[in-house]
Amino acid sequence: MNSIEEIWENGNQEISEDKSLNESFIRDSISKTSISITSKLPKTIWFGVAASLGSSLAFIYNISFYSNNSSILATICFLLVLSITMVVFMLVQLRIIKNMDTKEYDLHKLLQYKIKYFNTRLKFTRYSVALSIVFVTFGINLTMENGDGIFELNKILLLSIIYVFAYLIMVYLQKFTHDIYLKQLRNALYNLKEDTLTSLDNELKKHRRIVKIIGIIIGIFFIAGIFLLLLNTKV
Amino acid sequence: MNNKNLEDIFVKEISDNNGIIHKVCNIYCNNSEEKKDLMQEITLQLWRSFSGFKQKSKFSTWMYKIALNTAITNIRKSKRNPIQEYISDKQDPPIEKEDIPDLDDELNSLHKAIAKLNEVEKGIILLYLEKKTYAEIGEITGLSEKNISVKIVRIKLKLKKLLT
Repeated sequence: MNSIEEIWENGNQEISEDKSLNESFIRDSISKTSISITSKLPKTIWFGVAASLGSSLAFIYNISFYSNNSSILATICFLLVLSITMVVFMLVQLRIIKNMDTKEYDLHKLLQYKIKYFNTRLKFTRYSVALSIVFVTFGINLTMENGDGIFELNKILLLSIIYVFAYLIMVYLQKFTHDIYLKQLRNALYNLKEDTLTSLDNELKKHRRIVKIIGIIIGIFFIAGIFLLLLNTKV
Repeated sequence: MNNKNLEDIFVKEISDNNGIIHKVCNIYCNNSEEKKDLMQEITLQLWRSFSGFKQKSKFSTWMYKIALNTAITNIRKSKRNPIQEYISDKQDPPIEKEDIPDLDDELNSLHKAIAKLNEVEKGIILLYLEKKTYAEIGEITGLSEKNISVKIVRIKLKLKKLLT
């Protein structure tokens, strides 16, 4: 039996005779849409950008209606700033994702970069997309339920619970899709350089701790906001 | 340089080196449909990166880098081509690779044995068989030369076992 090097060498001639990758195939390929995982990410993010812009407009529209109601006005302004920040953040992410596959990184660097991105900024993007849907719904409710500067929705607590559930479902649906791909990347990095994955995991652990703290702060703001709305809701 | 000129240069360069794309796709795909998809995706990614090619490395090394990065990190593995688990007791049964038409039995057996390696091992053995130097393999994979030589010895042993 020949050695693997000899078998390969003998087969090279046959492969070079394959004419399927010709000029028309190349020209056709470069005009097609990418089927890569990263090329699918922008669709969801663009949806989030549109929803955030929608909610921003709704909040701006409502500022004049609630100008005499300081607590609701403060909530609207806070949400408006958050919505605009989310739009900017998501647009930046779209740019990063667009250039992600054209980076001339070696495999080791690219795997680390992608794993880190999926565990950090893409995670925040996921939260932002889900939050943007909740915000746009809230913005519409706020517009429809205002009566002389009083928020007339008397089921704000129930609505808040629905919002939280909707938010979590959206976050987890996206997480489920991304996690399959992330697992593939982690496997590749493990097979390439096991110790890098271990040190990367330690680095990400620290990041998760920071995210948890931010999450708790946002949660406190959310609960405080609900109380403010409850106090200012016409029952 | 306008886009049309750049495209013409790109088409010529890729046509001259199309064997690289064929070999990467033969290694990473189990059937002709997957192969066509991967060939298109690699060509597209090469085109998108082409204007940024700084000629610091050989064109073929650059092509291998983009092609392998695309095959390993860009394409979601389908059920027909499952993710290789690194936890051994969770390992999926290996998928039988379709025969590549027109290739002789020995080469088809080698391709089937390579198909049983993990994604990274496939890339490294391809570069080794294509007579890339350790420095070039290091440039493509980001591994040290020492690490590469250890990996190649292990992969060759694995392949020998699979072929006997």
